[in-house]
Amino acid sequence: MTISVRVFAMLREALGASMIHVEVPENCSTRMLVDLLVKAFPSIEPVHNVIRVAVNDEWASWDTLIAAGDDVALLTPVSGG
Amino acid sequence: MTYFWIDISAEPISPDKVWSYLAASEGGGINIFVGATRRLTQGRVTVRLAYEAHESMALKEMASLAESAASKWDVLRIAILHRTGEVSVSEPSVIIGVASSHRAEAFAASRFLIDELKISVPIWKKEIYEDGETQWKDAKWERP
Repeated sequence: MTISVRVFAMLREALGASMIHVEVPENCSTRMLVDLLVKAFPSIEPVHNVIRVAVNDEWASWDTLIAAGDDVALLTPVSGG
Repeated sequence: MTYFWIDISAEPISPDKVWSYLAASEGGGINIFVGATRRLTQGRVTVRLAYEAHESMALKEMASLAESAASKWDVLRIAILHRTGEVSVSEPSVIIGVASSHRAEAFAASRFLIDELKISVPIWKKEIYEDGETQWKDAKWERP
């Protein structure tokens, strides 16, 4: 299935896009998604270890499975305020 | 019953408007914290910050922090406003306001809200320095 992944801040700049469409296998976990994206886009390798994933506006764990139509976002350490 | 005003805005945010909102609570303790763009960071001159948010998630997290504060302290009104886009030196990037009957709750809830916002709300800042160089703030996750 194809999913859309939103990225922000330094990830958005490293990828040169605010949303990317990626083909993932069925039963793809957030961990698999991040590994797959880092492989596909080496420009985000330097921040690989700090990426966290949100699904449908909620923090997701590494074994959360992604379903078609989910709103997936990759987040780096936040720095608001 | 606690009233909340939660917003993320690309337009300037106003401490005056937050004051009016909180004063309408008729509470006796009103605390407003304003976070602004700092000019000097370790000797380096910043001219402005650029903020970016995962807006839908950030609004949800901010509302959840307000609910959490309202369950911990007896407060009447809470305001949490955050800017996106470019914010020049001295301009507010974040405003936290709490109205309560007495000052202790207003101080405690405000402190909790700004500290938690910085830890858990998906917003990012980029420094834009005097010499034109830019840099996303080098942050770390505060929680496992």
